[in-house]
Amino acid sequence: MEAIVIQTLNGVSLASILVLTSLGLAVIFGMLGVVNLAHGELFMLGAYAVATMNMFGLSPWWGLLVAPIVVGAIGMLMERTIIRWLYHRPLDTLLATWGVSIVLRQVVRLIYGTGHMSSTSLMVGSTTVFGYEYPIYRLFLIGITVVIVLVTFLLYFKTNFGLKIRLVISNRSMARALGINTSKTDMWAFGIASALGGLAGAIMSPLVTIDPEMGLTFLAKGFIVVIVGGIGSLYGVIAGGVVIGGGEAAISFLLRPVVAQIIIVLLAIVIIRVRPKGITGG
Amino acid sequence: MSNNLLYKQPKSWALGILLLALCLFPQVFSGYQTSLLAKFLVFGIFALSLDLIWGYSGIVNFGHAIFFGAGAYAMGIALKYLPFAGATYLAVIFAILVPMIIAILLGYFLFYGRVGGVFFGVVTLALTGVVQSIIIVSSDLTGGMNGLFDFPPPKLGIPGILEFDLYSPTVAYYTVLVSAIGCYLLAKYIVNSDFGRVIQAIREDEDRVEFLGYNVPFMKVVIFAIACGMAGFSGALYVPLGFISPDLLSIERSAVVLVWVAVGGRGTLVGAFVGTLVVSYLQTFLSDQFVVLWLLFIGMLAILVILIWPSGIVGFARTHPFKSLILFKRS
Repeated sequence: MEAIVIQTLNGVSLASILVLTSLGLAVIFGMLGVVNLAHGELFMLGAYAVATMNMFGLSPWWGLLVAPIVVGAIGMLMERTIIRWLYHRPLDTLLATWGVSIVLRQVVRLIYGTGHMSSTSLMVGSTTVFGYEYPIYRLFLIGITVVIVLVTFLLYFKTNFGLKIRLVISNRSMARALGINTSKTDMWAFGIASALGGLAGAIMSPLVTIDPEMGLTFLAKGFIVVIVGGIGSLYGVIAGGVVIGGGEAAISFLLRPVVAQIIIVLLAIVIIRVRPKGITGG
Repeated sequence: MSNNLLYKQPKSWALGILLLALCLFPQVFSGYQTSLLAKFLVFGIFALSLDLIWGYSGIVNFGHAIFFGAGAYAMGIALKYLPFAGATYLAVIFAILVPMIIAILLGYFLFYGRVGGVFFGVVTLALTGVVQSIIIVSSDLTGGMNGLFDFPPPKLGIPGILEFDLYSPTVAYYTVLVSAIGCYLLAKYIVNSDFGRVIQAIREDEDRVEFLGYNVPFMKVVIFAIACGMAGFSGALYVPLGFISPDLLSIERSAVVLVWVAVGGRGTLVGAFVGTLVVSYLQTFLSDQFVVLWLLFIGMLAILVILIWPSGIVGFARTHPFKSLILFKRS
């Protein structure tokens, strides 16, 4: 019984991590049609924000606040200088954002060195869930993911800005004819998505080793979640996160974690073959 | 993207001088320089195979190093387990077939699943990590993190009568040179064939080609398998010149080959070699001291080429006034 409860919680928290990292990717793709290969590096920068606060002796909570602001600003800068010239060349955005990801990684290396960084945990200890011990931070992770997803959905479906975004997605030229500054909404959407990536990195920072390469693993997983779930839809991210996260937790319970990760990627390729539009797509 | 019909072929006398220079290279320069150029020509074949899919069929592969590495590993493993004379030829065939089979499997799942364009690139990127893990995990066969090294040296020639050791720089160089020319001619033949024209039509408008009655996923699988077989072949050629380790399949190597092709000019074939040589020689001058700065430079080069110079060196040379100074002349 204990194994089942703990494994279920592990699966849910893994799914939360994946949803958190993929949300920004899905927003950028759904809105702008851009696959942002630098998203993993934005995630990495978020984690470095927490580690930097830690280095200066400040509370890691400051990192959680600073990460989305700084990373969001970097994202907006990236959109203004590079991405916006390439909207009509999707394959080229792939290579350009790939270049950005290499640049960000090397800049971090130059500033912080190649070694690992660490951040103190935001909260330590464990609590009892259904009578079993479970780390409190992982529960916080699940909770904050739910909050972030809800806020994103509210922003998307209930606010004026969300309305503009949805209008731009469904008909860009009509949106422009109605007087919406599409270039501005593009910039803000990219900024918000980047901020989501940075926030995800900051939240994940106590659970992973922080080094310049960390973004790559999360990027690859994030994309698999987005593709398996259904490209460009917010619901798809959640579905994909649950399937991939739950699957990985279940398989790593039975086999070695490395083998589990291999199986998950291969499984994802098979899922794509069977359901090309993802789990939520028609 | 350039259409071959619009341009004159390189002038024959210029081509002759270039070939002569390449043939005489080992006589003039040291063994070190010879094997360096041989290595870069191997990378050139690797880049050529990427240009075949990226420049001509619009399939962008962010894990092309998988197929290069698979070729090198297949070659090494075959040499290790086939310790008889003439095994080198079998090993090379093996090194072409293994990446081809991987490509066909991958292509079947992705192209028939209609995963095209950008998302194909993303899946191949994810796959790089997976294949690297597989190689590290199955260390009995591949040597794991330490790499694969205890195999007999590959030999060319007629077994027992006339044998050349591929570890000699001159033998390796001439083998690579002949292979590079062969691969270039093969690629040129493919893109100018009827099949090649359909492939280029797929790049321009996949749906329209589908409506014309072509089996688009099948065509894509075929060109992808050919390109990956060629990448595997370049991996096999790399074996006597380098070291087989999981590093061959690294994400950096996949990134650098994209930059080689982009710098040289996509969809030009010869640009793959030009870009590879230019960037690689630049790397030997710069990277020994500054590894971090070198990669930073590669990243910036990728952004700049895409933003301001998408046609690359060869594309630029073909369309600009000083074209008559270069090998390529517009009609």
